[in-house]
Amino acid sequence: MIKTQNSARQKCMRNVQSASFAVDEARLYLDTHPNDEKAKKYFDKYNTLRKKALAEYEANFSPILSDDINAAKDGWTWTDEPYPWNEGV
Amino acid sequence: MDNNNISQRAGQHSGGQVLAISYVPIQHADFDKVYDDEKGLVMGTIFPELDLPFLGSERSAK
Repeated sequence: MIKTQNSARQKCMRNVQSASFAVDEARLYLDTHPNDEKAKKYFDKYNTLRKKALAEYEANFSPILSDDINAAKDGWTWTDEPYPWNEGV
Repeated sequence: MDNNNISQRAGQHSGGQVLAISYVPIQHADFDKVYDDEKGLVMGTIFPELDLPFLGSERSAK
């Protein structure tokens, strides 16, 4: 993997990670405060951003989740990603 | 056994807590003031009231 591609990939992964973190935080809060309207809006906002970021990453780089692959058509692609200890992100 | 009796036996402390019972107060977050996703990821929380300086040092050691 060449350097420029690597940094675009890392930036894209960062979007997935930050949106996922915000979704997790809001989910935990809403588990005990299910009627907080602002919290629900926050959750929806980052849930949407997370889905977009996941789709963007998977379209440009490689699958993240095994449930997002099309195994028979594309092959066993979700293991194509370099692992974190092999300069993955 | 009534509550008074329990408090006397356990020993009452400031704030009304008794010994050997742990407390986690309910959080009331203001979602107008929470961090965005990027800052949340960096700070480890989206809630300013939970963004506390956990300083790992030897200062607390006796």
